[in-house]
Amino acid sequence: MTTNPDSDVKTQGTVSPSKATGRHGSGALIGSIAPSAPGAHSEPSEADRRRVEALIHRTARAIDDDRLESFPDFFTEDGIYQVASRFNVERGLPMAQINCRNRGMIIDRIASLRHANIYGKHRYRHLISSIEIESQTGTSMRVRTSYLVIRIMDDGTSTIFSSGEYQDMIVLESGAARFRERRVIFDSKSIDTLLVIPL
Amino acid sequence: MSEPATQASLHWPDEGYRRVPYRVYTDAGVYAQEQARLFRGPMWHYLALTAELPQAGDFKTTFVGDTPIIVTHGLDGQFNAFVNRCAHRGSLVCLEANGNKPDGFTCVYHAWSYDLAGNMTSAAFRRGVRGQGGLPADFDLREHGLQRLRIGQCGGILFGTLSDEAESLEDYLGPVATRGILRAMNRPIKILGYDSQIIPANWKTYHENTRDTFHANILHTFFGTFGASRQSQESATIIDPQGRHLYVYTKRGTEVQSADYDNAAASLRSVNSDFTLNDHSVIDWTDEYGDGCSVFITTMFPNFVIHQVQHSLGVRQLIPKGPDRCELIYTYFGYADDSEAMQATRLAHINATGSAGLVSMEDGAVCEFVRQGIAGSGEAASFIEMGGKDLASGGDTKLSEKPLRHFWNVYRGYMDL
Repeated sequence: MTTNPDSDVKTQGTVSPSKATGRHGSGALIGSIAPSAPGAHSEPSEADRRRVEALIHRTARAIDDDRLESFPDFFTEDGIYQVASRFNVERGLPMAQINCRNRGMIIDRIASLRHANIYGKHRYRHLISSIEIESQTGTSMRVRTSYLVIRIMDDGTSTIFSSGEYQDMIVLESGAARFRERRVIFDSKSIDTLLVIPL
Repeated sequence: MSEPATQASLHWPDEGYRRVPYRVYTDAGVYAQEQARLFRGPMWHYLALTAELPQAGDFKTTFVGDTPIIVTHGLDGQFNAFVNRCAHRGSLVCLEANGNKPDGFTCVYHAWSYDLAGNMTSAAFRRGVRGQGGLPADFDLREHGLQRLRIGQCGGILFGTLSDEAESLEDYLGPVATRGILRAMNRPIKILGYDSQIIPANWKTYHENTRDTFHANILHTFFGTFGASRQSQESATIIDPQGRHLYVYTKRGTEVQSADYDNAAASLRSVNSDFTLNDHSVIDWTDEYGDGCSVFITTMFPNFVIHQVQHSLGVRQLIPKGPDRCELIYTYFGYADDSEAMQATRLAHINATGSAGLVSMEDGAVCEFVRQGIAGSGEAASFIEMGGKDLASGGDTKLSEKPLRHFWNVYRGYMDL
């Protein structure tokens, strides 16, 4: 069992390979970016809105605080985490730079960056804004959020590393909000040097 | 050479191609000379995949070295490439990455217009107004087209050259690069997406990395740990007779036990048996080509790669951006007849390659470490003698720097350094 340090609810445990299948066979999960239609909103409750915002802020803070082992716990067991460029999304191209189709793959990404990968030491600072709950269906909400990530290298160099948008599907499980899908659409076409810490 | 020599001053160590003076990675004069002799010189450069330009009127913009290029699919069905630089005052004539313009291109600055083959079609106010202004009476549109590249294709890959002196594409590719390209480009493909990685290092640092078959199992832990690629597996490096191009392959599932390997591996960071995966879809692999190769990478002089890393397929174009920076563009593809499941597998395997690749991200990092390390190195040089001291030695093992010695030999020849 793993515990989400920012949640009062325990997760369902880590994913075993036999269960680790994506819900979308094609793997083509990144959708086109459609502007939200005015008036299409159903109004979430204040409590739900607070849970959504807390999930988004806590996820960013866990990354910035280098508590990356807790990052997978913000996802449901079948949770998807993808990072793709706006350039590809706008052209309907399915490739994503990071394409985790379940929580097991997210755990593997974190294990790889801790134990396998080589890169210049750095950390992030997230600035989050414009959290918008676009729609709610039962306990599931579609949410869009703007982010800015500043990368701080070990030598002190700070640069804007990434700006973009989170396109999330957030579900309430036993009162706790988790990501069933988090699609990070980054605005720039290019990645500076490499992308290892999740955005 | 059609270009006047911009001779860089550089003392190359007497040992020749088994030493590389670090100034070749940092010197602005060397960079300028590379632009003239390599990128505008008599060799062929990657431009595009024909699958990116399926319809008449389709175009994309790219670069050959520093030079901006437009590639088009003409209304006559022919592909064309020309320099993206207005014949009038030098502005870009196409500002977009790709699209469809059956009518061709019009410069935004003074509206000189060109068709999809780069021929000039009109100039604004050519006759002036009320007898004033306008172009001279002897102005001939035919003399003011965009500078064309010679182009050719192999397996749906378009190559171009700015040099009239380049040999034919077929001769330039030779048997080794041709085989590597056609193995992957054996049937119609489908573009899956692009990845662009800005590498803060000289372009040759990355190009060398793709020829450096020795580093893979030392630097990259991910596959080594899971047996997807190890030095103890059957592998080989095949270099073309002129030393310009090569392919390297590894066959997974062909472990050969040896005490040498076991002893050496025990001391490597990259063999870490404690590391396990929750989800194996990143490394699950079947032999889709029937030749047992789980990794097959073809590298062309000076800056092109086509790779199969498990089921991730892609071409890599390396664009220099000054002495200390380059852009690496991956264009990923699958086959037009891929099943939905195979496409999902390819997309999963792209997790291993590219700027966020569980394997290849480290190449971006190590290139930067080299740039940082060679700062202030004066006349110092690298040492390239793994597998021997000459071009012939080193066999076809991956534990050899023979492909690097060939690279520097070819490079010095073209560069006259």
